[in-house]
Amino acid sequence: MTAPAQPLQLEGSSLWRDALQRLRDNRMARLGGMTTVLLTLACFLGPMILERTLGYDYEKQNLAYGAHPPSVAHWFGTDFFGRDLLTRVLCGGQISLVVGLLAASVAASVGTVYGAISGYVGGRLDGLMMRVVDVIYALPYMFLVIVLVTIFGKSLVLLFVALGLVGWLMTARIVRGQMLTLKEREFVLSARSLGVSAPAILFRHLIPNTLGPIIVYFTLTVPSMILQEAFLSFLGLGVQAPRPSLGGLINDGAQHMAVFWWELVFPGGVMAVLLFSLNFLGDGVRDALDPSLRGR
Amino acid sequence: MLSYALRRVLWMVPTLFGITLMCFLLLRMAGNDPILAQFQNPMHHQQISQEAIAQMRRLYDLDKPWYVQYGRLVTRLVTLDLGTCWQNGRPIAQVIGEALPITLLLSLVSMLLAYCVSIPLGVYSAVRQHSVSDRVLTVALFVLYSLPGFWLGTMFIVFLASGKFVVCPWLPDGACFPLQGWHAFEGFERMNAGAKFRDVTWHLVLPVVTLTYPAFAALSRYMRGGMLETLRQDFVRTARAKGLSERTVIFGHALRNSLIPIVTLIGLELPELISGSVIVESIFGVRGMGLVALEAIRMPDYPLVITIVAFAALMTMLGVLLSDLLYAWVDPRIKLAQEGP
Repeated sequence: MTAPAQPLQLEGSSLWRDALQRLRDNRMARLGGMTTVLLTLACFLGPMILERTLGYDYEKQNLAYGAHPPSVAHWFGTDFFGRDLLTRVLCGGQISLVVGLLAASVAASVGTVYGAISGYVGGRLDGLMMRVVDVIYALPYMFLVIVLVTIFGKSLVLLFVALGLVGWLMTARIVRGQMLTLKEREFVLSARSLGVSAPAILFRHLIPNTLGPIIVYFTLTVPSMILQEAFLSFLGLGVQAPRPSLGGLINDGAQHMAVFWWELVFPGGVMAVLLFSLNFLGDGVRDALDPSLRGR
Repeated sequence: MLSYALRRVLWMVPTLFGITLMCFLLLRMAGNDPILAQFQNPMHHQQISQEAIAQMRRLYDLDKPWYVQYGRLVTRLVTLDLGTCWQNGRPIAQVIGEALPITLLLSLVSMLLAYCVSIPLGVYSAVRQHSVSDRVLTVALFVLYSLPGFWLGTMFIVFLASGKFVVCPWLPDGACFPLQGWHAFEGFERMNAGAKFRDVTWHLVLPVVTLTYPAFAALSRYMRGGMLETLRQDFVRTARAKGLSERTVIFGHALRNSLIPIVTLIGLELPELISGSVIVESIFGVRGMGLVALEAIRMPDYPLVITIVAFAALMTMLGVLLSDLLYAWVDPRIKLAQEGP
């Protein structure tokens, strides 16, 4: 902490610092990032605050009160069971964010390791591993997710595993492609001649060099995972009642159709805002890490 | 190119085996009993004897080990003897024959609409790169892309088709669009061709819009990118230097060359549309392949699921192949033979 400034700090700006600067300069990405942070805070702190101050709870029913349109007391209105919709939407947002992040992480890790091994080892194993990817890729995505969710049951923990297990294909392909060129480079040869083991080369030298594309694809996977979770919950296959999720809430709203319009408009609206802030952020990250794609 | 295409087609055979096997094993691991599922249905609230259940198991090969069951399923698939649906005993070929045209109609109309809207939008924002309208358009399309399809579809139904919010008083129920289905429930058979066409069009407006709008953002972006790249090339400068009008340069020279990337996307759009049709069909109650598949998986009706999965996978692979071949055909600079399996 109190050590004098290290000469290291005089180094020119790194790739990552450049990227961060480019991300900061991108107005839409900044807006997306800020909205994402705000929404995340609201989703995780909001329900707690609402419970402490007003006693709202996502599952405590008040049948005598019933469904009411938005008011000062209930900003998003209440549902058929008299539950505060704002609390339920924020709790649903929590689940969406967690599922999105975890599923995207599962997808990114599986894809990275798979693609790295396939690309690094090469030859017959590479051919075989990529055929497996082709097989899964040709499967209709939605069917696979639905089948997996039916197998894993309706548990929240396994939902993101199911989503992640389907979503790793593109990452695997990207990482493999990177591997094929990277493994011919001199620094790999020098590491090998120093006697570094293959796993160490893979995880210490090669994978860190493919981090850029992985991060880009990861940020773009998060919103798509959130969307899929919501659709599964909308079909009744995802998160189960009484725990709210944005997809489930939209489904509730669809059940009551034209009677309680706020039950449909607010959960979907919050979800749309969350998705486009994440998409803008992801797009900004892509521009920042791969300037050659800028403006595409 | 022919040998390349042939090799790719041959590769589809083992891939299809892999896909059907994987799907089959997953369904079996899920362990839902289709026979019990059928009789837990409150509609069939009769007593059913153990013998009858055992007989049905034998009939559906459920009492045999998995490899025998899978073998029989594949044999029937290969010989195109598809058998009947477990749910209602109708021939699978007939069920698919009814559902497929609807999904195809939805997908083709949607694809056509996507290209007809995206190409002009992409050209427009490329020609006016960095202008205010370019930026507004990009952001607007991005926002549109982020709206969840199943939510927007439901919103359409509630606000446009319920007759409570937006009202079209000149129509029978006051609703601007129908609530469900892809044609009128009553009297559709008796309509003449023109009335049928109008009826189906009226029913398909909302589903097609819901299926299509997310594609606008990606497609018009590709178009814009391709156009920008073409506009930087020498032959465009030459054309301008010759004194050709900007109109001729853009529509006569640049547009055709920048269509390459977007045309090849046609094949890749196909799987997207198949997945999207599950969403749209379940919201709008259109009985296409997506909805049939969803019901089949929930049961699970093994022969029906395997048939649909094999079919959808085949379509996906043909789509990818088509897009690769198109790419080589429209852009002779690309050589296919070195790459791929």
